[in-house]
Amino acid sequence: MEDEKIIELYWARSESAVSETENKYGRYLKTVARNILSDEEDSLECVNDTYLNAWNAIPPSRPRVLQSFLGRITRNLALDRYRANTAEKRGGGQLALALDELLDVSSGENVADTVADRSAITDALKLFLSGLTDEDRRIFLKRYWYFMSVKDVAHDMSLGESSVKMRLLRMRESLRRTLIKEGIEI
Amino acid sequence: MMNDRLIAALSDINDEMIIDAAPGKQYGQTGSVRQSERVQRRRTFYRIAAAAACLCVVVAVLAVVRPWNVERNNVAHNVGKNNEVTEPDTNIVNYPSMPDYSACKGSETTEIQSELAVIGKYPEEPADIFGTAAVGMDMEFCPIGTVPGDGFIVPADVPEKLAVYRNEEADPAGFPKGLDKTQMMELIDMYAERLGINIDTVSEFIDKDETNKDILVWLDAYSGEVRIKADAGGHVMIQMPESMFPKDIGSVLSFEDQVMKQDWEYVAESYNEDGSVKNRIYKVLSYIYHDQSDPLKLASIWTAVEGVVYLHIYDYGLLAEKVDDYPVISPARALEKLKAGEYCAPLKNGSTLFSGEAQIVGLRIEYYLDPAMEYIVPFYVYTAMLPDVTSDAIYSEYGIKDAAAYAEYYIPAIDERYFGSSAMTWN
Repeated sequence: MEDEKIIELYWARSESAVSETENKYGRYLKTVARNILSDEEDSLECVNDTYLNAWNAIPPSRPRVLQSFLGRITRNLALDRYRANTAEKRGGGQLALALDELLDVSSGENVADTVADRSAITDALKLFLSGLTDEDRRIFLKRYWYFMSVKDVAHDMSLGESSVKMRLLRMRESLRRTLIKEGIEI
Repeated sequence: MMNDRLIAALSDINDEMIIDAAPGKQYGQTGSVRQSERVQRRRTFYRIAAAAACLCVVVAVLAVVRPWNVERNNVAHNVGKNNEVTEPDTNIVNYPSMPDYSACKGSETTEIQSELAVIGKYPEEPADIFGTAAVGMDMEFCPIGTVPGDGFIVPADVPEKLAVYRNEEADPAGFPKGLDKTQMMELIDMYAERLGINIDTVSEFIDKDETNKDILVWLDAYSGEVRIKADAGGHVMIQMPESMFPKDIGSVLSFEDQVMKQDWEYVAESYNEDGSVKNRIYKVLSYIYHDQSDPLKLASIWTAVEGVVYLHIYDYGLLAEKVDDYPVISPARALEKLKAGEYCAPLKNGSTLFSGEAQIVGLRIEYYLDPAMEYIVPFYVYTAMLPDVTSDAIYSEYGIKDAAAYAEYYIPAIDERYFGSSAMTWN
């Protein structure tokens, strides 16, 4: 079913909105959650919570792109759950590895988080991403948005793992320089 | 932590980017479209010293003043502030090894030199290939300690620490290793796309490794008169007619912060084991580019055969990873070492020995990039002008006037206490 029609189901408060969403995006959302959490049960809970969040958000929202709207919800829910779970231990999964990789970009020290900072960081990220080739951007986002393993990224992109690793390393360096140039404290 | 903030901020990027990168999405073949591909297998009858072959021509100037020798011993070399012997935090065990310039046999460099000797001619006027006339040595002469020209640094700008990198695939024999066929082909495709050409044929160069196993050393791709060669060490060589070479080298290199550090017109000589001159090219035009944002990238362009341009691109970031940042010795300390004879020089002592003083005319910090080296470390590089050679009848015969001889001296910039049990001795 087309996204516009699914969104109309939400607006009409039709119960089939959720089932249609699950039919079309369930697998995608499970992948997003699983890459972060590793645990199957936690992942399923996140996806179910995503449907509930979407039901509560639409209306009044009318997402322009339903897939990314839902993906963001799942991602954020999964990240929150990961942080809650990870106080005592790293639960495995690609998120831990990705976080370690992204330490390259920073000084590693705690810096106060503010709303303004996040907006500036987002702008810098957009600037950085827009300067990448399509291929590099896909690699970067598959790794750091979707938390896919390097192996899976390489498979999707028909590249060798070494090549993916090298490109990610270079992009992290480039991101670091972009953040510095944009005056973002790292 | 910034990494958490980055992860969170990524949620706010464009919808289209997010969807475009969705897991499982197919994008078709990466790289440019190859019209056809025919792979041949060739066997070599001797081992190529690729590193020596490539680097020797780039840096070749006339003979240095003093002979140089490196020996390794097992003396521990870690001395603390109070002269106590301490273990280093990280064991950098390999001092850089300088290429042996007599080992040019079998390389395309030697073939070109021979061809030039047979033809017996060289460009009468400097070629205006890149929009700038290459006339003489484009260097600013200044004593150490004053404000230098482009390509040099003021000693006060030397950082306290510099990174050291490690390439696990480095082979002391200079044998290219590390990249597989797919990766080599990716490099070829990338440069073919930038040059706007389609590859017609690709051939493989196979050699034996130390276990006598077949190993792919490089791929050779051709498109008409253009040749792109990518080896397993990540080195790319592009050979093409001068008329086809892009005026804007930036479109080929895509270095982020590209700087032309050297612009040379020089005589290139290579030497036999006994120090006699093996080959001499009377006018080589050479341009060396660095990426100031990435010390592991280097590109050199040179032309010694009329109408042909060779572009060499080295990206050691493909194989090397950063080890750590290490303390750097001061420029004053580096100068003390230079005066004490504690330096490396990339040239063996040739047939011409100079006496008298050499005037130091430049200083820079640079990484010495050599695929034979496991550790990639920064050096203080002193450029010295040697006593006058214009009286040499050989050069006069070929109409070379106002020539000057230069040599470069390399002093490791990393504090030697952080090197492992290998130590360097000096003559």
